[in-house]
Amino acid sequence: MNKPNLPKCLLGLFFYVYLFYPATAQNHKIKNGSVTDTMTVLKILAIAKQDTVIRVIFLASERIYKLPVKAKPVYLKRLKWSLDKHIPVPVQRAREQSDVILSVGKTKRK
Amino acid sequence: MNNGPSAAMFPAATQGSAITRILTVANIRSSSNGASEVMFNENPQILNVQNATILATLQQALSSHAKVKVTFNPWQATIEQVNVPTNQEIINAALGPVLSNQGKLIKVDPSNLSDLDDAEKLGILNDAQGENTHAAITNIIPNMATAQTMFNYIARQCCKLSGPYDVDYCISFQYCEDGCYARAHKMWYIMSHTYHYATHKIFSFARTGNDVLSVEAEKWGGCCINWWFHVTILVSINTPGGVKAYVFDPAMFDQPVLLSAWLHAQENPTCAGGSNPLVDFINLQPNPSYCPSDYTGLNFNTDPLFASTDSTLVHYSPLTTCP
Repeated sequence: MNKPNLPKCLLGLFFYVYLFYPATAQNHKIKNGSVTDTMTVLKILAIAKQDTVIRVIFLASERIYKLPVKAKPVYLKRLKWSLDKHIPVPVQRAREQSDVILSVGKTKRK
Repeated sequence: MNNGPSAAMFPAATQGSAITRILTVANIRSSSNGASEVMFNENPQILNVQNATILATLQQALSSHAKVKVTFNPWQATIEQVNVPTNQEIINAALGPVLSNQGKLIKVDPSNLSDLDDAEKLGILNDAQGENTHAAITNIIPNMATAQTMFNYIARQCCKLSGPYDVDYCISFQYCEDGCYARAHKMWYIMSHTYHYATHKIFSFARTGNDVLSVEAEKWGGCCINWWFHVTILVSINTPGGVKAYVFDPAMFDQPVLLSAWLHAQENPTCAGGSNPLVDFINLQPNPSYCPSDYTGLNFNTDPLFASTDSTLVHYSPLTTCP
């Protein structure tokens, strides 16, 4: 029976972690300090006149995201499209702990 | 070998057209005519690849065990396109069938939350047996000391603590802004497989008007958190005052707390930020219910393979609640 070779095992483990990590770490993209998650809209809550943000609910998230009413109109349009089509859209925030939506990107079409 | 399609394998709507799925590569081999054949773990059909770039992407995915988003034509047995899936696409692909209109919807009366603490009235004493996979599941935890021991074991799997952990992926209790559904799913697994005690999922919702679940994260620095729903596991504990409904939520507390206390903590007025801190209703669900599949609070996705659970826990493992 072959004896296990410790350096080879460690090297193999390191290599496996190196290979596997990107598969699990692609949860969200970090660019210039901001984070972008691709998510599907469940609900866009109605706003009152005095509101400064539009509250948005996404699938598989309990947090309430906020789109400033002064944000580009196309962002709200893309969120409504995601809600209607049930297709995820890329949503950018300043950091993971922030619930303020900085931008809503286009879904890449095939 | 006949790589052609089997009509029964695909829904009628997709016949003749390409299909896109999230898959993992099982093997790549050369056929007798020199072409490359690809096999996927989740798909019985062997598919052909002509494009060198697609083949290289698949070979890389095979070596790294990564999931790939594959567009293929089952009628021609050819792969047309391969992309790296987003996390959301992986999660969506992993989620199981939606559970609809199961469980028990309960309107919350803020003036009398303690009514919810009676395990028998809540109906959680006898109906957990059938849904747990393990045969020897006990419904009632005999005393608070036993409950605290199990709670402490679960809390020790927190990603903020140094390992090694007793579970495959640490639980992101330290990041309670999101991911409660994954934490609850993992806790259910531990309770049923390690300790063999029955649990339920208890979902709270604030989805009417300006209502919001409003919590001060006292354990993690005291910042304010708002949710539209929250979920954790519910257990029955024998106490001197009878069998009571307690929740395990190490993201919020250091010990099991009564269901009423858990709900009360989600109505913190100092953290509402202009909204109305109120639990509109709770939904007592069977354990497989994972996260809401729509905004009604009645329908839930499932995660039978824990793929979304583990992916979410890994995603949130390095994060902190109050920066």
